[in-house]
Amino acid sequence: MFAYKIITDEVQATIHFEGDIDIDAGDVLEDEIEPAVSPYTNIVLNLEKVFFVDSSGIGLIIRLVQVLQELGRNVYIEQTQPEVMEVFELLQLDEILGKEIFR
Amino acid sequence: MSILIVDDSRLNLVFLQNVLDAAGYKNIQTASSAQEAFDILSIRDQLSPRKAAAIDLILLDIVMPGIDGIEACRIIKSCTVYQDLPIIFLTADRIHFKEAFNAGGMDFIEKGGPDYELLARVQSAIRLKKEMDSRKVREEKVHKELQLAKHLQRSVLSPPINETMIRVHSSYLQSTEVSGDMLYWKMFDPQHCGVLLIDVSGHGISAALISMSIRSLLDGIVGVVKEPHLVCEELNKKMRALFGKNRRAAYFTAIYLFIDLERKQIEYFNAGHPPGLLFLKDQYPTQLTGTTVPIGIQNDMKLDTAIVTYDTPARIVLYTDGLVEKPGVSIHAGIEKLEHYAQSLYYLENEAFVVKLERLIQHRKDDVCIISIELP
Repeated sequence: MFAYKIITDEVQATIHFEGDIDIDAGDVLEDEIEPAVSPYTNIVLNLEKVFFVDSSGIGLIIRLVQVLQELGRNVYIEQTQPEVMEVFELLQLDEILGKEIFR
Repeated sequence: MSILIVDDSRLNLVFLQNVLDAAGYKNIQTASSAQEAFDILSIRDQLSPRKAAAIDLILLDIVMPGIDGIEACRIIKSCTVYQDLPIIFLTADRIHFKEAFNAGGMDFIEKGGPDYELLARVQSAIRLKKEMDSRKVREEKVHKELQLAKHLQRSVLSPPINETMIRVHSSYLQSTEVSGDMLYWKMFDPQHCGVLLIDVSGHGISAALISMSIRSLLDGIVGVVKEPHLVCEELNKKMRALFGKNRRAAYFTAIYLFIDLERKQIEYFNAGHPPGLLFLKDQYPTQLTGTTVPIGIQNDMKLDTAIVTYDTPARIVLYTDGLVEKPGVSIHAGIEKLEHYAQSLYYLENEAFVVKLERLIQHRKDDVCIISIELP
């Protein structure tokens, strides 16, 4: 199960993810979430309610963040669950996306 | 299309046969009792035949002497080969409907109703049967293809090494039919050995396509450049060139060991892969942790490597995350469990050791690959 909710103000869009992020989330991330948040200067991925991200899910997150960064947006990932953080650390996500992304 | 009509009234049989015949259904068989129908369907003692008779639809009367239509339907439907065979009940009395549907009937026809109703129901049942049949054929074909692909993929795996100074064994478990994991090793000379394990993101066919295409390059990479930072660089270049323009980020994690048996030293790179484990006698295992990012993500990835030395006897375990990962549970906890379990099996001979480690697999949704390197 994967769901999301986007909360916005003038400059910032926060995406609240819920459920597992795996290959099934791909279409939603690309077709719905990416276009919805890309106009905002600051984009926050809130992972408070995400307890599992598999390797395809990581690929999707990397791609989303990179696309937004290329547009000059500030992207942040916050409230990552410890189990998910372990996987991010294993894959050295801070090295790939920049250390400042996690908060 | 072949239709079987079962009715104890000869008059009804003739009538139905005529209506269907006039509508163009030529292959019609009739039975005047359930037992006769079973004979045509090769059902003996209520047991399913090995092969289904060539019947595509049964029109079945409910009220018959001996075995009635509802019981007959239940028996036919209990046969594996007839589970998808549509059965339409013939009845004069709606009182039987509920029971008839519960027994596995797909439709009913009221006796004495207009011909067009009979023909419409027969047509839709036959159309459904045809679709189910062709779907089954397709599924069967895909299944066979995947089985073949699975054998093909296993056939490119490196055979075990059984030397006096080094033994390498593995366990390769494909989640669906094909795997995104790939292993490779090579003795460069009697003193030097290279061992590589990769895990392509995702699983299933797309991951397997990537793992197989990378496998085809390994003789030209590991076999030629040998040293970890060069192997890493080459793999990344190839991965970027092949799949870098893909809409979705395709990458793989990898761990590669360059083992020097003379100096008892291992140089390795670990590209986002779970840590390899180095076991030395009576010591807590050393983790061969990450030195760089996964392969295929960045154009210019750092090519850091690390060096560990060992005393013999030693054993190294490499594995893909399917062995230690479980949704919602800490991967570190999984690795710790593996460390304890592997240590308790330390006395086992290398091949048996690898097989025992398979027991740790929590869920078979992911591919799993385990390599054990014994340095006696």
